[in-house]
Amino acid sequence: MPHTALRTAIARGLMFGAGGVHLAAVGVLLMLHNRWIVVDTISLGQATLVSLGIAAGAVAVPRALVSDAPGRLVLGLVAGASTGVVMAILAVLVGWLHPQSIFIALSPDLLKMLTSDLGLGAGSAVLIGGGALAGLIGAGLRISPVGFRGTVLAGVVAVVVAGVFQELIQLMLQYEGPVGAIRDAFYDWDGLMPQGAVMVFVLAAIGYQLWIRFGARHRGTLDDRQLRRQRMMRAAVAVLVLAIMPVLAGAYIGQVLMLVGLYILMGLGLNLEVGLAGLLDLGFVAFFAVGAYTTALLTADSPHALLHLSFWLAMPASVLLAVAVGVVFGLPVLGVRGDYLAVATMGLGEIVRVIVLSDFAAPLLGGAQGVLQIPKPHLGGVLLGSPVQLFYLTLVASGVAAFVAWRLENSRQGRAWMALRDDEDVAQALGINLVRSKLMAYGLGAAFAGLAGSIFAVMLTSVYPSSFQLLISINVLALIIVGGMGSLPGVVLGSIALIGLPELLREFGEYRYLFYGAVLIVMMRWKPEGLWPSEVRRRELHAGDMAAALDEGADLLPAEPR
Amino acid sequence: MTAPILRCERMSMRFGGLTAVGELELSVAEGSIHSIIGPNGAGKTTVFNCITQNLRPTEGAVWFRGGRIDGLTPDRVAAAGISRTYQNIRLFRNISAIENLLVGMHLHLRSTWWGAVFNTPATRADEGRAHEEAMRLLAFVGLRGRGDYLARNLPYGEQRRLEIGRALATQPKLLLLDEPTAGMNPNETTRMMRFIEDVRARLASPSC
Repeated sequence: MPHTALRTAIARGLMFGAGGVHLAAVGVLLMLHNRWIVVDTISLGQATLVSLGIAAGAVAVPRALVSDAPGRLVLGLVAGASTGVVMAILAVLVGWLHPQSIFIALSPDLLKMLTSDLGLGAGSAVLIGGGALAGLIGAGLRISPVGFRGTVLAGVVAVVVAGVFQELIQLMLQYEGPVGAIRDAFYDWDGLMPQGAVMVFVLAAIGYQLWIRFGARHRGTLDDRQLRRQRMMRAAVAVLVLAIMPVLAGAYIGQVLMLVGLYILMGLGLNLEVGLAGLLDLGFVAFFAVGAYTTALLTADSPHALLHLSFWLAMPASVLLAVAVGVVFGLPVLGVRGDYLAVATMGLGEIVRVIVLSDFAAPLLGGAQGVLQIPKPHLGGVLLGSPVQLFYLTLVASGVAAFVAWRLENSRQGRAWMALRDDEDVAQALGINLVRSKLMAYGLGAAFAGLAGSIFAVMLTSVYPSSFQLLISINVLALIIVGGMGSLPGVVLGSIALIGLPELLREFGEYRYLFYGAVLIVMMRWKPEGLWPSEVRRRELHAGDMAAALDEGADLLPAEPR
Repeated sequence: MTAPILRCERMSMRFGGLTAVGELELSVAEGSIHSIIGPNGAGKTTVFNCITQNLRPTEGAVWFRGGRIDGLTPDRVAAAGISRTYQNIRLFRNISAIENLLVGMHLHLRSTWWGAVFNTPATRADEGRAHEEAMRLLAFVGLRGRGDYLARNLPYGEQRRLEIGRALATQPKLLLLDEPTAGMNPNETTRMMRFIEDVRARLASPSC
């Protein structure tokens, strides 16, 4: 075994160890430890430690350096053990030095978790041994055939999901009778039971096997039209699931989904600006604020209210005003390009927030106290009061917005935007009016944000300047990037991943932006096109005809003179 | 001789103290093919940029089909009927070849954004015509079967022809080709020359 391979394995193991120390020192590890995956068996924190070891083992050495199976296994074990050693050293240091007065998170509780309550000596041994074992497993998974690896991973992911979200799942299954019996087979009061975990694992593994055996093979034989129909079916199923989710899962999920829906709306708007037209806008929150304040001022029962309209009149007014602000915003920054545009729009976004906060505008907009007592909307005599009812409003709004965005994307205007994004000068030289196209992108993007703001105002029944921070613009941009620039399903996926998940894992709130940062870095490094990249639209041919056409006109330098 | 389609009068372009183009007098007759030649850095591309108003000439006037075009924005110059290609190919790299052509047709399509949202019959007809025309152009520049490729994935020669196709899509009266044979061997160059004559025959439009 070459010397460098050993060194690489140890170095990578130590690197993952350093990652573990970081998680421990900022307090994430202990926080994760407070959530069981399988009751009284393994916590999320312990699982994190184990997965660090597994990851170290899996990437211990590049295949080019060592390719034989025994060598890779041994090096995986070494890497995992190195990770374990780092964690053991951390445990010993915490045990001896009691550094909690300086590093708050390095507490006795953390020590207890790291050493599994066995004391320093035995605990450290467990850490190192466990690390080695995890590394071995990681290396083993890496060299195992894809089918096996996929099956195991599917099982593990299913168990983690079933365990971590046990409260929500139990909530969904809170019925007597057969549903209750199923629930009781997997869960007890505190969470997923060990035998339940085994069953979940087996079920997921079987499901995965069935899928690769039948589903995946079937897929390759589909033609273009069938694929499209399949995609439509999937979208329909997704919408249906979203629509009945709150009914099954209750108000809390409804509230989370409502927030996700608002971000989808904003994401669709910003996607027109950034994803299609390439106008990097960091002041997007301004349009959201305009929508929210317009609805507030037109409907509220407060001294600041200008009118007492119904929500259904205030909403279009909010959208129109947001569009107007979008156009006004767009005008001064028309000539600004690229990174400079991001900075300029960020400034404009801040200006709106500062104006709303200012004493100057306080008599009109309520200053820091905001505008209160915004009534909930009525629909045909029904008060849309609960988060779930408002969620349906958001769902309909997002649906309309997505439809508009989808139609625009495939239109003359959409093509002009994409041309603008790729090369502004050339687009102009082909006769595209830059001013009109850019203002159109700003205006339509702002319309979606204004709509989201309007719903946001009636959801909270009050608006404050502090709700409209720069951070919202950044969140929306981040979800577009994670989902996939210019891709509509990507917006939905990005919202669920970046807005929905952190909301469901409430105690992560404090570390939300730590995860955000990590996710963004990982995405940019390994999947810069996003979770669900936009596809190249086929306009000339359908998949099947492609090969034939290529044979026909294989070398194509100038068409022979006719 | 009929009135020239393009006339540059004492057109100059100065960058600070550097005169890139000095008092150029140029007239081009409709249906003719001209070449502008000169060593590297002679200002050939600057002349093109000044005609299309990518750069605003510092002095002089540019007349096109009886109207002055200096001082207009490039999109209005394109609408007046001048189209061009670039020395270093500038396609819209991240959209497909056929979409590049459709962007070129922008000026001649009438569909609006609300028409697109509601998918009105007018928009559908417009898009259908555009698609047919794009297919015809694709065949004309010899890229049949390549329409669905991302522009950046096409080989060099095909990118050149796609760029010409995109310029033709604007239905120009004057086509400016900036170094159309750059990087081509003699054989390919001959074919390109024939192709340019072909373009004139098809459009009866002169090429520089």
